[in-house]
Amino acid sequence: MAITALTVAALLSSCSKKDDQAAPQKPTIVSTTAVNIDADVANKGSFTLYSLADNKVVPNSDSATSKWDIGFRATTIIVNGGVSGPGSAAAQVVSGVYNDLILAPESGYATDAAATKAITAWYTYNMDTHIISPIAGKFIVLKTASGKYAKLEVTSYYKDAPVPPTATSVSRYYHFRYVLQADGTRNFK
Amino acid sequence: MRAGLLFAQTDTSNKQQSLQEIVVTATRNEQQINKVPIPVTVITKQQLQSSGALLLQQILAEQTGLFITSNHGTGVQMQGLEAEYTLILLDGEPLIGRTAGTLDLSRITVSNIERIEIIKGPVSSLYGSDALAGVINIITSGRSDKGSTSITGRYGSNRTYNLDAQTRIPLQKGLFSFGTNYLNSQGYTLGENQGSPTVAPYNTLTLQSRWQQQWSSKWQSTLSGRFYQQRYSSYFQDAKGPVDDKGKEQDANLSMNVKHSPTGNFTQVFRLYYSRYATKEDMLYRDDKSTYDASFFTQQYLKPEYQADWKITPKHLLTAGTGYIHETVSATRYDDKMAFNTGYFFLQENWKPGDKWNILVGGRFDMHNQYPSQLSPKLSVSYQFLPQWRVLGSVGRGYRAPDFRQLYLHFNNAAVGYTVLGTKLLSTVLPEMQTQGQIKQLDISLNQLRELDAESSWSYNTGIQGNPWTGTNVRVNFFYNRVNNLIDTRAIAEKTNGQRVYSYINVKSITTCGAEAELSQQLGKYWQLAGGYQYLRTRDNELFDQVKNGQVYTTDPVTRETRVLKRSEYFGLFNRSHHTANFKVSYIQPRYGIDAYARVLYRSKYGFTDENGNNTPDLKSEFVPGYATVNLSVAKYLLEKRLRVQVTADNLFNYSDYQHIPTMPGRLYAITLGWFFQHGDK
Repeated sequence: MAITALTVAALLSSCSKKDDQAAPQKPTIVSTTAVNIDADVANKGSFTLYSLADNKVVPNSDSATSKWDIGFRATTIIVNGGVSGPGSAAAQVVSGVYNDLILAPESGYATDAAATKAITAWYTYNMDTHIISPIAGKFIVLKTASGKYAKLEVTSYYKDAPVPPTATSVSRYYHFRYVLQADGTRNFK
Repeated sequence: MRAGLLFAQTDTSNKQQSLQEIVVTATRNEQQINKVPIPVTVITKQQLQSSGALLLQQILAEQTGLFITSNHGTGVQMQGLEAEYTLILLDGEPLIGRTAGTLDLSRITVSNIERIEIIKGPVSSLYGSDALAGVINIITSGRSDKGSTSITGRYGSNRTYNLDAQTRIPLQKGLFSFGTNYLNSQGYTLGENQGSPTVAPYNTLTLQSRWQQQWSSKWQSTLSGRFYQQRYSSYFQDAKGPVDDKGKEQDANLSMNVKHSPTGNFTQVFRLYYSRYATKEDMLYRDDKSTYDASFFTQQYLKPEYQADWKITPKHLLTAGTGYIHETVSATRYDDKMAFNTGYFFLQENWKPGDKWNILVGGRFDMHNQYPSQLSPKLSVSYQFLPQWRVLGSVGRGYRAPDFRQLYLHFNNAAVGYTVLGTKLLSTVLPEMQTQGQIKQLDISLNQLRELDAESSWSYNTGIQGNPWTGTNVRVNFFYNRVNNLIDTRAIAEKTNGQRVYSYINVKSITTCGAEAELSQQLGKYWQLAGGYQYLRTRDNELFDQVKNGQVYTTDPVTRETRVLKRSEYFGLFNRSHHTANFKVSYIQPRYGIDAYARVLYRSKYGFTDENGNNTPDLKSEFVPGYATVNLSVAKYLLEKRLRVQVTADNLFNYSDYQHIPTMPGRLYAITLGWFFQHGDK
């Protein structure tokens, strides 16, 4: 009984939040989701490159351009900057509630280095079930290849996002949502 | 064991007798159970027989506050602490051969057990390492000196059969006993289309023998030995085809005691104990017999020990002891044969200022060559405030030494490519790997690596025991354990192949606290009811601080939105139920030679896995739902109590949940025939 009440309350609050967001939304903000992004399922060793502005996968032939912002290969995530690409992308993993972050942090961004990527520790690996789970409350805030701010949350690492994934679920399929602010400010609202 | 003895006990089974029962584990000397200032649970031969249990875990599973867990073997959880924190003794000496901390309880068949004593709360003050949550002492030497022989056969579900023979022969001034037990099972497979059996076919052989001799009124000696062997035959599927997995496990121990009592007030015992535990496993591809993997593990343990008990005055009993442990391990995943040496001494004063008070103060100091020395003090007090009631309290420190694996493991996983290193190897192997270009980056600098310390706890127990009226027994105990310096696995470096190097580090602390209550009631001459309940709360202290600070998040299962985990939603550690209970009904009718025993066991939901990376169970799918099982056994004696026929149905209502609890095979039936006779009274 208590659990039901709690769930309803959570639903109500999330509904009202969406209504709030709807009113002041500016056209420069892109809020979208991506599903079943193949992150090297075939294990060829190449990254799947993604453009947040275009909301699509960019071919690997464009890897040396600024057409892509973020790349995925298995659990490794790169951003287009530093050793990973010619762009000016930088990123950090932050803790908190994705919906509550309405202003991107001013500092704390890192570019990919040879030893350490800017994006680490976003998931856990369960040694018993071998399941990769995004850590609840961890998401990515990044500056895109062209320096625009975005926040991005990985919601599943498995094909068709089963809840919960099982031993037979097919991995290396990213599901994520993001908000991109195209006007160059840190504002996500 | 013998019909005569068994029923003699039950005929006269009244409260007075069981209260005067003698126990040894809590103090390392004989004390009356109703006087010793530490709560002791005794599982009697009668209970063992009535329950029809075959393996140790079956009888432990029915005790209040104990749970059977499965992690590299069958272990027991006590006061919310996992299997590695409970010391398992066989006739007072430690069993060795733990895998990932668990001493597999299925290595012990119950056929020759006389009684089991269970102490909850740390007893490192007497036994040293591993006695942090408590001690379970399996006692096989009986107090009877009469000759008897039994032959027992049992057949049950999963084509499990057991043949057992035990004999006891009185000597001029001593007793010789010998027992053998053979168990064979087809195992079982739960669920559909499994690539390998849930429990593989196995067989075990146990041989045990003892010779006790009273040389004179002052000198006594005991020589005993035990040998155990298990073989199993499993298989699994690999990308290159099916793999057969055959294994062998051996456990042998030899113990010698010489006891000298020069006066009525002074006793000294010299004990020599040796134990060897070995496993060997071969995995071969079925098609071409090529090796998939082969491994072995051999551990040896040698311990000479001296103990003296001196009754200085009727009010003061001083116990002192000293010993030395030499332990070695050689295994596939270790570079060399490793040796551990521990020297120790312990001291205990039992002070009885008056009839109503019993005070036990003592401690043990362990000096070890591989980790810092440990001092484990303990104070226990009991006070009898009414003739049939007393309160008990104790405070003590327990510890658990880092094991071989945590210090010396050197394991490269060939298939995946990661490496696990014991802490003692880090300073040599990591630089080697660096020069070989295997290390991409170190997550911590080499001089940050610290020596691994033992895990240690402070524990508090307080309770009340009493007999409000005839035939009723009440026991309540509150417990609080805080375990610090828990050893955890950490990634310490990234390899050039993208995998990690793992090692061990003392990091977090956990707290377990709760209460347990037991009530038993004799109804008339033949019926006995007993109930037990444990309430348990556990927490990871560092994680709980983060929860309090609003730094831990969860995912709504419907909307998939992230939100802060509320403090009230923090459930505690994995694999811990908040509520557990048991209810038992026993009927013993000696005139018709009938005994029946029904038990209901319940545990509430518990955390099983973490699906949202917040290291705590909070989503519904992260829990195993609560469940209850019923075990039933009925026995009848025939042919002037020489033949005993017993029928058992474990898990009568066939509860199973193979995804969460693969160790629960569903309903199991068995029939047991036992032939008993007495001979050669001296």
